[in-house]
Amino acid sequence: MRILASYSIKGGVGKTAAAVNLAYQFSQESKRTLLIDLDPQGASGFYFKIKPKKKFRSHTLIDKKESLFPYIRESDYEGLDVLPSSMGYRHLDIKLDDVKKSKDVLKKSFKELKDEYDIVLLDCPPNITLLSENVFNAVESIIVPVIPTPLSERTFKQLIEFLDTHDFKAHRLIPFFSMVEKRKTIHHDSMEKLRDKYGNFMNTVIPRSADIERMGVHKKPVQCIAPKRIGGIAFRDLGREILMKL
Amino acid sequence: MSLVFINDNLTGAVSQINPLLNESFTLIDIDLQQYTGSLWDSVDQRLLRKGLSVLKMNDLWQMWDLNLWIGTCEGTEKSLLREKPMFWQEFNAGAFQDTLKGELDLWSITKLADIQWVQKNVKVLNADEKQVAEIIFFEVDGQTYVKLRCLRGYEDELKVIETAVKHAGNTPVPQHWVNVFLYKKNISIFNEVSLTELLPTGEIPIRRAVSDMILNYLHTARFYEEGIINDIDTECLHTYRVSIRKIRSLLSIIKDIYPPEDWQMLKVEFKEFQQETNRLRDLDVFLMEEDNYKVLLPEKFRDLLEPLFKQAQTDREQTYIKVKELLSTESYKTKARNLESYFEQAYKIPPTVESRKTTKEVAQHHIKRIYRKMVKEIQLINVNTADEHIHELRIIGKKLRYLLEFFDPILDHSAQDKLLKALKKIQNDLGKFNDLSVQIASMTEKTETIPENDKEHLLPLGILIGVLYHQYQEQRNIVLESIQTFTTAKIKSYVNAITEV
Repeated sequence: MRILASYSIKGGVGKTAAAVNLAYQFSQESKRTLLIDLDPQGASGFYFKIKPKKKFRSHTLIDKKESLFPYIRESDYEGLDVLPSSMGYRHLDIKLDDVKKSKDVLKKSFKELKDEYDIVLLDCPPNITLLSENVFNAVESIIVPVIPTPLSERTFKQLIEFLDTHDFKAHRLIPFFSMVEKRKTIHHDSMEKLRDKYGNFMNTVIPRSADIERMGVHKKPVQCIAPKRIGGIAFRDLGREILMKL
Repeated sequence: MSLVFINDNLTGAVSQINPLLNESFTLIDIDLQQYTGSLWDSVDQRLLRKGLSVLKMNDLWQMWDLNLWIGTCEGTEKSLLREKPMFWQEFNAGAFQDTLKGELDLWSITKLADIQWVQKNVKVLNADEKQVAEIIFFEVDGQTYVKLRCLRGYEDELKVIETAVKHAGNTPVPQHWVNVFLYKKNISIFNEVSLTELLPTGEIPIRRAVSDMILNYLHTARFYEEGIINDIDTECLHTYRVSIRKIRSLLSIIKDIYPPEDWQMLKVEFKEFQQETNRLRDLDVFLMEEDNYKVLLPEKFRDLLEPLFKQAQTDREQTYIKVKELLSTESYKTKARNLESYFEQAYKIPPTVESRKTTKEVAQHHIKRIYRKMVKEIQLINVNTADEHIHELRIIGKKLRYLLEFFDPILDHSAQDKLLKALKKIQNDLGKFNDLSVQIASMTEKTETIPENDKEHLLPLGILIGVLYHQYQEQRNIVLESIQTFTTAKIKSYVNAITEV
């Protein structure tokens, strides 16, 4: 089982769209996939029309005695399941603080999933907290969407430095360019600069696309809304590129 | 997931159920689809027992999950289409081939029946337009069935849907629809009773337990007679012989539970059943190893083995006819039926002292006895021991292994597992040693059928015997080391736990 996270310090970079579309693509590539929404906003679940079960409480995620399986729900797409978020996740850091070895809680919680899924993808909230540290300890790689601007360059550098202090080496990052507008010189220049400086950016670039923005209207992955247009093709290719890298 | 039966045609089915569901659900109807194809499985329905089925529709092979009632993967053949038994190697690589390999290994799939059905799938959506379940209506052979498929995590919703479906005038059907379909086509369904059902407790009298076990194995053996007679799969003969071997093993280890003259008769009858099929099995094994033998030789010599295998194939065809005739005779059938009857009515036979003992007591006694015998034999074996003694050890080990397997439900589970694991390891090593010995003997015998001056055909056989002999010597060294692991204190502790010393 491979555990990945879609993560960024900044919000609004296309993290959830990436999580949703990549999870979908992995399942289409015959990988049994589970998307876990850790963001209290619950956007990933929203895109799949999946709500959490009434009995689901946030502490289930960190309680050793409770299993996650009763709360996992099957999406409308074969091979793809979702563990939707709970509003209670906004208090998760407080709950984690009370637990011994609080940085390894998620890693232990996910152990029971190993025979059932090939890939577990975490959609993470945009912050640096005890929950984020749990994520860094639990995952093999972090998928990082980066909008190619000078500000994002700074944010990306901050992320690498922060991860380095937590013993999470840069080679485990899977950064890719998100919401790219090719006609913008600033985007073009930033991409070139970041590729030169950090050699690990994915070849596939995700363009700014109305189809991706319309995912919330259709409540479907972009590959289903517009499989033959640039948004759908880009996420299809990105999913495949990431699987090749793993 | 439940299966229900309805007395209605497919087009009316949705309209019956719809009004019974509350407004929280929407039904999305998908068009009626007709399917024509054939159902394939091993002779003993191994796929069906795992909730799977192979359906062939035109040139397309599909693996179907019978619980979900969806095709899970597709396969394509490597060579031209023919309606003959198919092995997993004959399909192209992929999920379909992997599934066949995992579930069937050496078994082939054959066509069980032609099948036609009409199907309608109906998606059930909740108020958020999220699919929560699927209702699958299908009509086979004039019977209409309904399957409910629940999407994971929506079990509460399924209960509501199931109630609506039942209230539309339906009756649950306990059997899987494929079993019903095969039954109506007069296709025998394999049904081996599990040891746990035969041995619910260690307190039952030993004769009853052994008689029930022997009867179960005999039924199993008889199930495969048809497969042997029609030459569907060489595994049919192998499984037949394994069942007979287990019966013989039970009778030879656990003596004195039947009257002596009966026991003598039973020994003779089952020995005959085994012996009549020895030659055919030897030839099947020899022919299966053809490629493995050829790769042991330098390439330029491989084709020279062709006449050998061609002759073996001819022998096999003739031997098969003899076995087929034997199994088809009234005298064989009568013998087999009489044996079944004997064990069915074993409770009527006057008891012996031994037959009154409990199964657990007898099982523990023999496990202890044979374990000690095995350890004693191992302690006598060294680098100078003759090969026959090593082969004898394999036979003792087999008896112990069978005992542990026969009486598994009533023994200490953890200790039995560990002991069996250790025993299987050394039995595998001993088994390879024995196989090599048999192969060398068989090849040597074949050299005697080739004229002395036919150097062209004697040479590859000579090389083969040389290679096999080298492997044999190496395997002997492995065995000498491996068997020592069975004399440790740890193994003894497992035996003590099982025999409650």
